[in-house]
Amino acid sequence: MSPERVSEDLQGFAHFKITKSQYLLAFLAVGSLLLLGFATINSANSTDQRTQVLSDVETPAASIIFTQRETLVYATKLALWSNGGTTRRNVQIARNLLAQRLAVIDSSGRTMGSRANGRYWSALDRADQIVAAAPMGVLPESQHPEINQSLLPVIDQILAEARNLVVSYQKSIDQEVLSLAKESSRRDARNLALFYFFIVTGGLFLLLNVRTNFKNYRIAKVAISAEQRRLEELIQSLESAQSQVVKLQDLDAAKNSLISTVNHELRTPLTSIMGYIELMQREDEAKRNPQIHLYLEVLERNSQVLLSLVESMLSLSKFDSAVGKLPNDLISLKQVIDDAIFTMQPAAVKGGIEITLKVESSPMVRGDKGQLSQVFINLIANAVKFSKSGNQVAVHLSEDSLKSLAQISITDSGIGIPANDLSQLFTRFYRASNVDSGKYPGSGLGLAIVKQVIDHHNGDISVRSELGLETTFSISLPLGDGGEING
Amino acid sequence: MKRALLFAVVITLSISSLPPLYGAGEKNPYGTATIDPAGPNEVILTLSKGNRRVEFAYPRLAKLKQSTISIYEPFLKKRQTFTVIKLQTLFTFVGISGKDKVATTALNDYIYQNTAANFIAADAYLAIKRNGVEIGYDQGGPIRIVFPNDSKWAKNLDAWNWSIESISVK
Repeated sequence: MSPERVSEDLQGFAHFKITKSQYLLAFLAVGSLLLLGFATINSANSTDQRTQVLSDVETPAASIIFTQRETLVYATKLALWSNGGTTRRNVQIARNLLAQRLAVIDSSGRTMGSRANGRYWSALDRADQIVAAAPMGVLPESQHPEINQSLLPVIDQILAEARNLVVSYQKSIDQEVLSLAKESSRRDARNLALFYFFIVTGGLFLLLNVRTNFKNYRIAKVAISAEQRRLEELIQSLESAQSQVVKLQDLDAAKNSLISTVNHELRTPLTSIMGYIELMQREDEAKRNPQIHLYLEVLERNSQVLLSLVESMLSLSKFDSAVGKLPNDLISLKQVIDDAIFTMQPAAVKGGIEITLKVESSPMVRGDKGQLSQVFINLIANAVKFSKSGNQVAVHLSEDSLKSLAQISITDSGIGIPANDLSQLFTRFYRASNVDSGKYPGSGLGLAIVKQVIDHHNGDISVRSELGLETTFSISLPLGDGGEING
Repeated sequence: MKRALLFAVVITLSISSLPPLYGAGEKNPYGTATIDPAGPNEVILTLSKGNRRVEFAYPRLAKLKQSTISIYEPFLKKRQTFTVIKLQTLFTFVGISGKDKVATTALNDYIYQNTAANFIAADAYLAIKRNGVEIGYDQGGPIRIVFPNDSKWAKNLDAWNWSIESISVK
């Protein structure tokens, strides 16, 4: 598994995953829960309303009890009256109190009287007729047997029908209760079905989700193991590379030491050779023989090239060895540039080239004066070398106080540099493609040294050139703060 | 034709023999036509507390301070206007107050009991007229206990005692 794939997988597993089917299940579960809540509230409201109705009005059960009671009272009054125990008025009052009870509307919305059967009414009518036919006040004793004879079966019927009324009411109530129970049962069944549906959908959702995420967990575990192995391999590679770096650093130090030694050994005899060549050039005979003189000039030029090469290699070796050990001296750039121009002045005069210096300010920088001198000598020497007689090399020194940078530009009107060569210009031993080595001797190390020194001083160098017209090297260096001037 | 006529007669006789499917009208459809007249100054309400006893015939009762209230009558389920006397006013005749256990007794011996304080707190009234006329026995008259709609006993039907004949504290 590739590292990118592992990383993508791990990022994917870091999130809680829900599939489309799980979304559907979750939606159904939440929907059923909402419906269940709604149905439960509805059931509770119905129960409340039913309870409220039952509490607001007289219940059928209470009506039964009271109706039977009033009927019994009336029957009792009739019996009393038929035996001379009370007045006809009291019987009539009891009858009307029963009428009031029969007119009561119970919680089912019906009067008690509307539910009594025909036998009940016929018994009451018969009793009413007997009472109405009798005299006012207390019933005379002489009429007791007759009234009793006619009234007793009526009273029995009234009592029997009162019982029947209770039974019929009881049946009615039973039906009502049964109906309510059925309604309640239907609601409960519906709520239970919703609840089961919620449990099933919710359970399925959880089950599938756990399954999906457990699967992801297992894949993630494998991916993490692979990643862990990869990291361990990387650590091993890094340790190996570190070891190699240490070895290379040791080798580099040995190389620099070797170059330094070789340079020293080369330089000493070269210096001697050049001394003797010069002596030979002064000899009169040599002067008289132009051929020998030509040979000696070739020898001198090649010796100079060799010496320059050795000097450059020595400089590079020094810079390589001095990485991280840059002196922190405060240096006047103007003075360094003045010295470089002074050094190169003889060569410029010899080539008929004028070196000009324009100073807008005198910035100070921190670093190594010797290295910076080398930079400007190299750049001015190049400018002089590639310029034609009568041309001018312009050096411009200024300061960008906003960016805290010293800025130097060196412009010549020489052969220019092809655009393709610009990117490789600061590479060691690299020479532009339009340079004729015979005409312009050089080692290809000068600009590499310049670049290395500028980098060591946290500066920047760039080059802009138009082939056959001019070349400008622009350098920027951080301004140094106040301190001792070691100019 | 004869068959149709016979059928109509049978239906008419059947309907006339059945009890009416009454609504809750002003006149009680289940009542009787007449009630023998009461005796002169017949007592319709007796107030008593211990040895103190005050009796009221209808004329005396009608002289007490009255007011008119419109209430929803819960037994007939309709709004009715009653001419009423505060029960608290009647209590003062025999000194009924506070925690006295008051029993209201109806002509059919139905009794409802509670403390005088609760009757007063429930704003209980004795109704002596309904819709401007005396209340018949078949309407729970001649006197009955009623409560305004905002009373705490407006739905306590046990307390709405009809055709009462006495208010007593033993």
